[in-house]
Amino acid sequence: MQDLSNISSLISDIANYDSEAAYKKLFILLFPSVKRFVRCMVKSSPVAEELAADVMITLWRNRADLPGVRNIMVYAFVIAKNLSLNFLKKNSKRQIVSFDDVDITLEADNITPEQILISDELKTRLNQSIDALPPRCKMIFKLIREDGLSYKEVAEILDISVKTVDAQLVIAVRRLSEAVKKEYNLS
Amino acid sequence: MQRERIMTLLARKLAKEITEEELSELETLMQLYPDSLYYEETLAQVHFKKDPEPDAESAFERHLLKYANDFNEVATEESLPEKRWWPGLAIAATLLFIAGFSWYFMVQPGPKLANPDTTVSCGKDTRKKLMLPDGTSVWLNANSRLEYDQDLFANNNRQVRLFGEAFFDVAKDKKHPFIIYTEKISIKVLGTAFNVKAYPEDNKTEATLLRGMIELSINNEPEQHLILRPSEKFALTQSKTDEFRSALVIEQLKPISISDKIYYEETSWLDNKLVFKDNAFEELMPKLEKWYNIQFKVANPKVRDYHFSGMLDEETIEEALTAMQLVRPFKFKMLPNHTVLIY
Repeated sequence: MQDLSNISSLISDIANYDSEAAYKKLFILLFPSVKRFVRCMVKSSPVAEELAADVMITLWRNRADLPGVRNIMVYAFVIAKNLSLNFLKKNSKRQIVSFDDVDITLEADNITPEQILISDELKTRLNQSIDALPPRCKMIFKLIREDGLSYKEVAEILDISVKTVDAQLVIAVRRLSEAVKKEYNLS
Repeated sequence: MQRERIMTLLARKLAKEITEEELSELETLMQLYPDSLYYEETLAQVHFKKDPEPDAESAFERHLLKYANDFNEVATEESLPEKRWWPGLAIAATLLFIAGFSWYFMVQPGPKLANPDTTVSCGKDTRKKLMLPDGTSVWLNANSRLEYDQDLFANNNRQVRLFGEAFFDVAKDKKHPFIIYTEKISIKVLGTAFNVKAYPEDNKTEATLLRGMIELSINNEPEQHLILRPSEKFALTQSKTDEFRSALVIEQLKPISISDKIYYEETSWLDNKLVFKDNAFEELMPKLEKWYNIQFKVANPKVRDYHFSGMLDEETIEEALTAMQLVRPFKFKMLPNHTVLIY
């Protein structure tokens, strides 16, 4: 997913030499996915950018501790999750207490497939199924499919067990499959 | 319920978390239930709509600005002229009218740039950034001109003359004070980053200080000086009868919050945005005229008093006016020669 060897040398430069050039490279590597992650919770693009930038500055300010972090992507996503939750607690009309209360926005798209043609109707049904997924399930699906994170990484970010991640993903797959089943009249 | 098992294994395969054993189990199952190929293929093709990739480079620049203090501590090389401005202070607005106050120290006006050998100017639609021989960065706004000598240190002062508007980030040099002459006021730089607005045709000359300290004096009244501190703005208004009444106004800068982002009204042109908060159309007109290089003809005097807040970025004048129409009713028409009729 990310070029790991590259990142660890960046982190080393940042932590040991206060290198702003290395920080810039790290920023450019992480910022887009952190922003995407935040955006599906907070909805607003400018807010997502602010919060994603806040995540990055937190990394910078804690740079001395970075070499001790096992997985910087997970670390950044956890900070992002917490900042987003805090933001939503203050700014949402609904009561937000925990991650499960968050209304997550995701929209699926598809590239013209090589083998199976996905009709517009199926696409709509798939979108509906995704949208109907419970928040945590939705987020897990996104982190795995879009951000390419592993079960272990997702488990760490969301503070749940790997088993739960697996179970939730199966639920997502099952629900989406319902849409496929209807479309092709499968058994 | 083999289908359940297929779903489970498919999920793990999609997540790339499937084991060898599970993979061969899945393959066997799929041969028994060929329909499952549809599920696999379809799900594999579900991608998420990507937001247009945020421009990480410019986001980084903005990031540096916002957290300038975090990066100032690290005084490595000053080689890259990185934009560093406001420290992100949140200040309440206070308006102080200063009638008579104690004057600070004198500034000798000195020989005022008799024949500057270098001129940089910006036409109606351009903005320029330049670096002076001493390392000072200057961002010149549209319709502005900066004059100086290549030998900047000629008079033991660094001197420039400004017509229009510019933002200065002055290179530190205690031995050589940096002085900016505009038509009405002179500014001696004691600190580093500030904005000066001195368009000859405007009634007001303004200086806004973001970092450091600057000392201002009024050209016609050389004994009068005052010192500005960060986030203070100085405005000198010339009365319409052309009599030189110095109405000195010192304001605390109030950051404007639009869409959850904080802008300082005076210097947001540096970001290529025009930001205004609760401006009467009367006030807004000259800003829009400069921004779009147009001229307004107002047939409906009521419109002058309508107030608007907003932020213009990439919008055309039509888009901007259309948006404003949603707030207050008026009509507009585009006329030839870059003229807009408001009625």
